[in-house]
Amino acid sequence: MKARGKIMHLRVILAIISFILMNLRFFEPWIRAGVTGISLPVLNCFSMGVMIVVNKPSSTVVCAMGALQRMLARGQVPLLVIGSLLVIGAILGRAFCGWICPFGLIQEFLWRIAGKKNKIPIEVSFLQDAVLLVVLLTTVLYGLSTAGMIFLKLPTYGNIIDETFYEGPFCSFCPSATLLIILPSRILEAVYTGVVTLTPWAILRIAIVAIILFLSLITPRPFCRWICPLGVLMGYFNKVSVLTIKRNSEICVNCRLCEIECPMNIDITSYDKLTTKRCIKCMSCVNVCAKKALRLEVNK
Amino acid sequence: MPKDCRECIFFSNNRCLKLGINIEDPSSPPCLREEQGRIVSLSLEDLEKIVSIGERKPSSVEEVFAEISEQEEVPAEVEVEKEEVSLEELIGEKTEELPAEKPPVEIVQVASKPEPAVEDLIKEYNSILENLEKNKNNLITLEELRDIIGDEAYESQRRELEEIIEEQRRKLEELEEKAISKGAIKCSQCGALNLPNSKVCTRCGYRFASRAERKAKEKRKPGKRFFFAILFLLIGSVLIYQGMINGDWSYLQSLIKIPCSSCLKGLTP
Repeated sequence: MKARGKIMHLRVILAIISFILMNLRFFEPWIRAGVTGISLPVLNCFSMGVMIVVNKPSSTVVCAMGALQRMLARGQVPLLVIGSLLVIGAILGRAFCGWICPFGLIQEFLWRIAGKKNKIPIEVSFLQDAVLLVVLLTTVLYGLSTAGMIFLKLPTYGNIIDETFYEGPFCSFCPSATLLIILPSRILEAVYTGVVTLTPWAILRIAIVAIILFLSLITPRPFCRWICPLGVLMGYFNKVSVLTIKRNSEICVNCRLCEIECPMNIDITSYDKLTTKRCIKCMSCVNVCAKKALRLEVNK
Repeated sequence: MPKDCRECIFFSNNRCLKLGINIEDPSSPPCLREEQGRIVSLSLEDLEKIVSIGERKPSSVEEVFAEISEQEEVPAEVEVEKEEVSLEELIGEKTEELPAEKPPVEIVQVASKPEPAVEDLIKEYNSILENLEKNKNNLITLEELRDIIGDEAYESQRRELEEIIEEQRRKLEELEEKAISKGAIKCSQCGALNLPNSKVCTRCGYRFASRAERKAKEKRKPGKRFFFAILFLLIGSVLIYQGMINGDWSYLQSLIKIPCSSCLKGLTP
């Protein structure tokens, strides 16, 4: 095994193990697994497994983004979810994106097998912030208005608006759920019944996933860099996270191998500490550095 | 040698940071020229001319070459005039103009000279630095040739080289002190001196931190980040505890027991 590939192999193995553990209820006929209710900053949908084998979710943990939206839409303050994000962010920053998130790893895998091209080196960090802001505002406003109507004993929205959308505006488009739930279920349906039922919304979602996967072939992790609201939320913790990648400018020879290897397109040589909200602590830069100028250290 | 400005580390915002000129067509770098069907880099003299023009910020590469051609025309005339003066006459003039009584006057002239500019100091420093590195390499080569040249010759030449290296080091220290006091930047990668406000090292291409970045680095207090991390951990723990009391835990558990309608939007009509 090449030294360069060690970290990547380790990440893939860890991501597969995490994916199995996060969806342990899939194997319920053989393993007795319960629901933990732990909210993690990964796009592992809590409806995972539905309509694939049996019509019940296989997830043992909760996607933090989904839980945040659901609780805000109910007019609740998501104390447990915010607390979990604060604890994970304070220690690891955005490391879950690099090591656990299945959708992020699929994009990176595609980019690596396509030859690590980067034909779109554009960064639009404001877009991610905007997506996060729109998602949170929509759910908060929906939650407050619903709670207000109940309090004033007024009739609720009922069939006037599509409540499933307002309870989870991001979930309604989530490409991870589309790729890991909707697509497999439709494929299985086609295999077993010979008929595929595709609603316009499902076609839209599948088209979004297809665009993201195509972009992954020509630029690294497009969804994580440009859209993912959960990623940008965790990225803010990179400024204070205990574990940080540091660059020793005395040793560094500016060969920029790390920048070529970086799946988040970070200009690493212009930082002494990788506290940028884009860093997913995947350690690819640390692994590729021949001078050992980059190291994972405790942030002081 | 990059064939296109866009591949060069000195190219930024349609401008060559090395030559200090605007580049209109990056596909034809001003530091290269075609010679008998081959692309070769310009001589050091031509580059210096471009740099001297670049400091006055011309609008385009064409303007730079126009100025170079003008400059080239003038020295040609001077050279013709010089050829008319014979070598003997030159030697005669020199010997006649250097009488024994003159030195005290010359010393006064040297003492009244203005302080050298930072550009001159940097140029001198960098040329000495390069010579020093060459001498160091010579020392290594001498060591390898020890068996061939014999111990005596080796010792004498080694001593000679070491003296030169020592002298060059002393000179470098002096120049560095003077140049840095005038705002020159020393490259942490190769040790070369660069003009104040340089963005990249002219010798190795190392990108310097901007003044704002350097100030921010100095201002940053150690331990601040760690304090915030601990604070976040504490707040997070309190929120988790509070959330569990409020029943968030059981709500989240109930969430994953039933399929989520938002996540599956579009799956069923």
